[in-house]
Amino acid sequence: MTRIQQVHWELDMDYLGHPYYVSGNAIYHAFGMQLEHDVHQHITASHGMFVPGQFGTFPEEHSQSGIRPYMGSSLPDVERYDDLFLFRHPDHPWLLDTRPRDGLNAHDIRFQSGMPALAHETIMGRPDDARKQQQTTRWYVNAYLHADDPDVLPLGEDSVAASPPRNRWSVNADHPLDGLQFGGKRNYGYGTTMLKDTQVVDLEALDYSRLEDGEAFILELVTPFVLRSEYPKANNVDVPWWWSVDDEAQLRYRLEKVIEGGDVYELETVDHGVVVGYDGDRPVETAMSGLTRVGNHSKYGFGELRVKPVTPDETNVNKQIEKPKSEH
Amino acid sequence: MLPHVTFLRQDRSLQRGADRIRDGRFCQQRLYTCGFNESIYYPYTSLKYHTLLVASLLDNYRAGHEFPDLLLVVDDSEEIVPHRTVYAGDRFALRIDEDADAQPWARFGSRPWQSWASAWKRLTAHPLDVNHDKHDMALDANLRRIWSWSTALQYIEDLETRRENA
Repeated sequence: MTRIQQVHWELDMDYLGHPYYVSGNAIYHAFGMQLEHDVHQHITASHGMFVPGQFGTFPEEHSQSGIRPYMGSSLPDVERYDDLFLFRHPDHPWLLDTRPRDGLNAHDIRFQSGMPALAHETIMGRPDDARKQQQTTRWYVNAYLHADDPDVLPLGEDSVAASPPRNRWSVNADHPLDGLQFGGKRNYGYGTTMLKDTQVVDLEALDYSRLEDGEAFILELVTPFVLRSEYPKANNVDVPWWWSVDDEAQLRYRLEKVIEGGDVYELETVDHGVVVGYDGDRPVETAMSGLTRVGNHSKYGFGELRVKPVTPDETNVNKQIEKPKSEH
Repeated sequence: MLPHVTFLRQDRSLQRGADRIRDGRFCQQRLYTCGFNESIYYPYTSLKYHTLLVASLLDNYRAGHEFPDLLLVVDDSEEIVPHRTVYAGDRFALRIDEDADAQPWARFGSRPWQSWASAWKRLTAHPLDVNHDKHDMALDANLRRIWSWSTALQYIEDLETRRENA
């Protein structure tokens, strides 16, 4: 049984760090301080995506439909494979078009000591005739954990369900996922979070019918795929054979880092956001691997892939492919 | 009447674009231009870029390019292609065209509603130093979050101007 534990943290203070996501490595080290070593070593964390706590409507491929108030601030139930990716894409297609979507989804960037920090709340000016519109949007970090020992998850099992509502400034000291800090200048209070929501999902119990019924597929890199790493003893890998890529030079590359102790190791990656074709014949298995992630440093959040069905279209065979009805 | 058409009529500086859209029949056939996501509440939207985008689309359609053929192309900063270039800055330019001429590109997609973020995230290269420059990383991170094309271009212009003045 492959289980993951989804986690949703609310940012209490601005975050000074990598603006694309909180790295899985940072998340792993943050809760490591609250766990015993022999539990901690079994757990891997995904990268943490930034989510505005705004109203939304479920995307077409999601198992639920309709509008959900404050969608971004908690975890909806997961029944289908596609439900897992609700908060994993930075453009957050679920945000309402009737609200200033881009203004709410783009990060407010405040400069702290010359460094760009992501604001933990977005405050919008309110026109006179819009009294009831949401004025302040809180920001969240969304990630998921999995473990090679199934008994280890969920973390904090005893301390979540029965907890009464807490005020913002109390930390549930029993829960290993509460009160964590991410990013830089933590000793000044930056990057403080509160655990807002968490739930366990059994990957094998999900509905994969969209993939089972699909004829052709594309892969989207939700997080970068690491090809080469300076980390000691890391193996360099090639672009997987089951990616369909016309010309590898046309893939977009970006450098990333793994920070361990005081050392910084540079990574050469295929950038997240890149979309490639799928040349394999086992989309469901690939989808599950894509969740536990592939490539170097997958334990630290890299190599998260999403498999999407597309309509095979002869004119699109050599082009980058999009699904007819929805982005995903 | 479609809002972007009204914008074009009021924009005297883009005379050739305005001439084209006086043919009302042409406008109705080209409903694809609704595809640029504009929020009517968010005051950040940019008339200038909206106009340039619509004009570029119209120019492409006049040349017989269909929407699924169109690409977002990154050009060098000096490279301005009349009625195709939609953004021209000191570091790079952006164009909507059918042919990338070996420049970084991303296909729009088969549907007219495709967002800016969808194109930006699929570019074969980004004209930013995201490997080392924290400001460029923050810009890139936000460009992946924006759907409206004119908002994105205005945002790029604002940050590039700020960068130049810093």
